[in-house]
Amino acid sequence: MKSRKSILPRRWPRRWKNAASYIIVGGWSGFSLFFVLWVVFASLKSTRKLFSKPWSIPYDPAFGNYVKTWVSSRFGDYFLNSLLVVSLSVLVLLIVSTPAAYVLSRGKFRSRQVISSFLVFGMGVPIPLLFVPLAVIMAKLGLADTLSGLGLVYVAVSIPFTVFVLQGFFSSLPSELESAARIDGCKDWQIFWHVMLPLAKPGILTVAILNFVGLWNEFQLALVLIDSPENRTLSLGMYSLITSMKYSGGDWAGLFAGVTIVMIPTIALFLFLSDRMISGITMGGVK
Amino acid sequence: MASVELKDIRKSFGNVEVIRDVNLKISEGEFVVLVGPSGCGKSTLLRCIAGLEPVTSGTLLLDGEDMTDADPISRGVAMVFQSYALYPHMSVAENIGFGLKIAGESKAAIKIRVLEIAKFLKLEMLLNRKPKELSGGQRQRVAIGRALARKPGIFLFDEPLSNLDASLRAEMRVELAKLHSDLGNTMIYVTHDQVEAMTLADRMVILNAGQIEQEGPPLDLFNRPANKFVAGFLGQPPMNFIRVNDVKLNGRILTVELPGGGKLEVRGDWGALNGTNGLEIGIRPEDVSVVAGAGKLPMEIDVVEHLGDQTILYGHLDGRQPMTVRLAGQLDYKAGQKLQLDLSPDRLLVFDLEGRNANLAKT
Repeated sequence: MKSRKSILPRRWPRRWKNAASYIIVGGWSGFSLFFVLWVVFASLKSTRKLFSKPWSIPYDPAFGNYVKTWVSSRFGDYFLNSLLVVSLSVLVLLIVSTPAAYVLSRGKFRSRQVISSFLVFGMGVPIPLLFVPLAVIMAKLGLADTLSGLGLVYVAVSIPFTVFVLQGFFSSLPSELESAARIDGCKDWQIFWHVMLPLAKPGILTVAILNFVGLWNEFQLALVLIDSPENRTLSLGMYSLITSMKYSGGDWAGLFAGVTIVMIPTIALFLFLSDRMISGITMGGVK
Repeated sequence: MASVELKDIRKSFGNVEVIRDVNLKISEGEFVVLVGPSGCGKSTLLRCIAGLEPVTSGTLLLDGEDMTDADPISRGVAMVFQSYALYPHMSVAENIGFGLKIAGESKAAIKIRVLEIAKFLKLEMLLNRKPKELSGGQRQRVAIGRALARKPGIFLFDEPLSNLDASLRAEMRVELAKLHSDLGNTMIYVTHDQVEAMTLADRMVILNAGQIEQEGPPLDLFNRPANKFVAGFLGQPPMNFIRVNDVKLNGRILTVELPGGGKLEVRGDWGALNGTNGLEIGIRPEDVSVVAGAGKLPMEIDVVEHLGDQTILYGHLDGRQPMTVRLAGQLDYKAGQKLQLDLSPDRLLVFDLEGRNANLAKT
């Protein structure tokens, strides 16, 4: 097994290296945590207080900012739109990608390598390159400016990465289990359904979370494909809130409430599922 | 129970031919062990019999019926794998009953059969555990239980004991032998461990480079190996092969000169001997004795191994030919010491230039 290479000089004693690692990682974490907390605190202050006492802790939280953003700035609608489109996209993505990854990792057919390489190539295509063709295709299909159209595009652009990760994961599962299932009388799809799919759960959960977070924060495609205010996702909602501030004078506290609303689901996901996700990532890679 | 017949079986992976023209008949209820060094194709042959690998050419008959292209389930085989291959997400009971579930048996029928097997294999207390909560021996029993569930005609074992420690392996060996005598099923067992092969087999099949070198009852193969490969493969430490000079054949008496100048006479029927060039004498380390005076074969000790009940001497003869001697008891020999050896004439084998046993017809 290859040992992990440290970025720290080799001659340093282990204690120094540990201390340096803790300082770097701890500093980084502290820095991120500080700004997340600052945004949350800012969202609970009035705009005036935010400017007069930017570092203070809001002992008298102004939850009205959230109500205002949720209702007046229609973040409630955007949140539901995002939740709907992202959840369904991830679900469809997994339904499509998991069997595909299994077949590409275990199947024995000629074009397997070609398809795998094609998918890897797909990961390298810059999204902005797809704006015009996608807009045209969606318009032709009558799916322009619809959440279902956006979801379809989300699924399509996420397939290469998802299949790639899951393929590695399926490859790491012992092939003897497949043989045992075949001896037990399983057909191909039964092997997948009864044996391989349950074993791949950590990997599937990992890609589900990564895709959920990625699509939740996705902005470019939503901007290109969605026009109507009622179909906006949260990222577009944030954008419109910032744009409106140019004219309405700046409801900064409301903006931070919006930012917090956007952050909550992804932070919650990482908080509750990070352990499983890490085990999923390492299981796929190390076996 | 079922009989198995392999006719001209060949198996290739791309350009690499792994199994070459294997012909083998296995009778109902027979315990046949396929044995050979790593990479000899024994596991591939077993997978071909199981239906997990398609054969490149040849015919596989089960109970006289052509099953060459049949899937594993219609062959009526069950298999125990080297890594046990238990489904990690299922309990012991689910693992044992999985085959029945796939076959569409009712839940009640599955439960009855699982309990029956659990009782037979003493697994009743473990039925709700997951494989990761079991010891190696328990996992092995669950794997056997899973194989038993569907009442297969043929059991296939792919090195099932190689992941166990030495004492557990000995214990499981006895359990497998009992299992065979209780069930009486046809069993085909793959191993590279000759102790397993010798103790379990009704008949041993020795494979090398994808071909059968020899088949027969274990002691027959041990005492009458067809060639140098079989002779060297069976027995631990392996048989000594000594190159000899000045070979003279006089009727039934073959006289050879051993390294160091000693003369040796071997009696036998040498009608099949194809020339006297490149002859080698084969003698097992336990059939060599150390003599006090002048012996037939001088040897210098390089390494001494004390195993408690026996002492093994590794050394060399004149001309640096390696030689191993196994002696009973605890003996005080040292590296560098020179010894005189004697060979039991009735235990000697003679191999010709092609490595064939020249005295198979020895009287």
